[in-house]
Amino acid sequence: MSGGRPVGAGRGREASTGQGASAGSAGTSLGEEVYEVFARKKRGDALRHVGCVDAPGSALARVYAWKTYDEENWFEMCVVPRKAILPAGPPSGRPASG
Amino acid sequence: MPRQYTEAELKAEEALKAKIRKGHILESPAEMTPGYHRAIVVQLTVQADTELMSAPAYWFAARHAPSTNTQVSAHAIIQDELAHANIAYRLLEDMGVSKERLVYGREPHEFKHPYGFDQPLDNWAELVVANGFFDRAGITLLSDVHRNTSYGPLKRALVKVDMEETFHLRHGEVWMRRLARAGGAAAELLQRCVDWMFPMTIEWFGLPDDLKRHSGQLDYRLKGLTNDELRQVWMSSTVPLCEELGLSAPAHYDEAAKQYVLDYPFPCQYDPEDKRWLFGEGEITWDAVFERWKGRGPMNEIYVDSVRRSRQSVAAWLN
Ligand SMILES: [Fe+2]
Ligand SMILES: [Fe+2]
Repeated sequence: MSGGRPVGAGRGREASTGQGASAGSAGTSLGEEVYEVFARKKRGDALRHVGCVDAPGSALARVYAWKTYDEENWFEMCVVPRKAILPAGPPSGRPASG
Repeated sequence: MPRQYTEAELKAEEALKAKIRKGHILESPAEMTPGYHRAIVVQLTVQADTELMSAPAYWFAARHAPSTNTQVSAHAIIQDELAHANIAYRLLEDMGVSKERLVYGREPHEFKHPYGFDQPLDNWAELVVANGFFDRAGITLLSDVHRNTSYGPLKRALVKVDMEETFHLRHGEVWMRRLARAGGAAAELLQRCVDWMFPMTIEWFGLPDDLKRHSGQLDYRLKGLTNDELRQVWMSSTVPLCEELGLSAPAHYDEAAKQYVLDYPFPCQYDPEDKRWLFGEGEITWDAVFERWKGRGPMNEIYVDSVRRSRQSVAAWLN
């Protein structure tokens, strides 16, 4: 991952800052949740975070990701439910910049 | 209006601005101050709404595509715009702004896209000039954001958007060149497009710098250039393009002032029914412009309805 810190790691902290009023409910009335999208441009390249999509389940998340992030002829693409990404550091569990 | 800041809050805003001036990049909404949050939500809402409303504008116009090839290229552009909108709304959702409410919960006139995307594009020439002018405005604005923004997730999201907008612009230029070379009725129609769409795009960049009230977008480095600078960037490629194609654009380069100047009263009034700028009536106030924008243009409700008409029925089936 290129960002240094896990994608979406800020999510759980939003409530405590008073921002992100509705961020707790990731879903919409179509029952969607957030998926992070990763892709590899060609053999030998790093798997890179390219964005995210909302989808009502993994089957459609794969379709939406492939159709939304079509700017390259990706060698490989995968999606991960955002809630499955666990921050592993820094040890304080807070962004270094707070 | 936002309430008054306390002294501690003001200090936090100033501290963040100082960090940003030294190149600090924010990586999550949790790191935003209320002032930063407010400024980026405004910026992203305009961006998302503009991308979304360009889709129906181009979609109605794509019916005028003259071949199966051009149907494909026109619809590929529409697909890109919808993806751009989706990505911007997704970023807003992370900031606690409901995409559901933004897309499905507002009145058509509450969307924040420019007045240009409330207008009908009635033939193939208007669609390709929209690509040449409007998409060029899009890339002018967004490539500046891409280079300068202090919000990491937006910077990365714009890699895709910039790549694709460049394709839209090229599509516009290539087709404008073809129509101009054809001469006759095609070139006349093209000139008619330039006559209403050039000033439409100029107005899109908003208030001139000497009237602009402070927005914070520059202080928080959400963009790098001012409205007038962006307008100059747009003209510096659009005016030479028009000259090359033998089209007359209402602006020229002033050697002494070292910048492009408009050859008509700016801002001025627009007649949407006739698709004509009322240069003869002279300069109007920006308040009058804002009033026209607020009243929205002839296609506003039709375009908004076209991107959400079946939402309620499908949601009802599923719930
Ligand atoms: Fe776009
Ligand atoms: Fe575009």
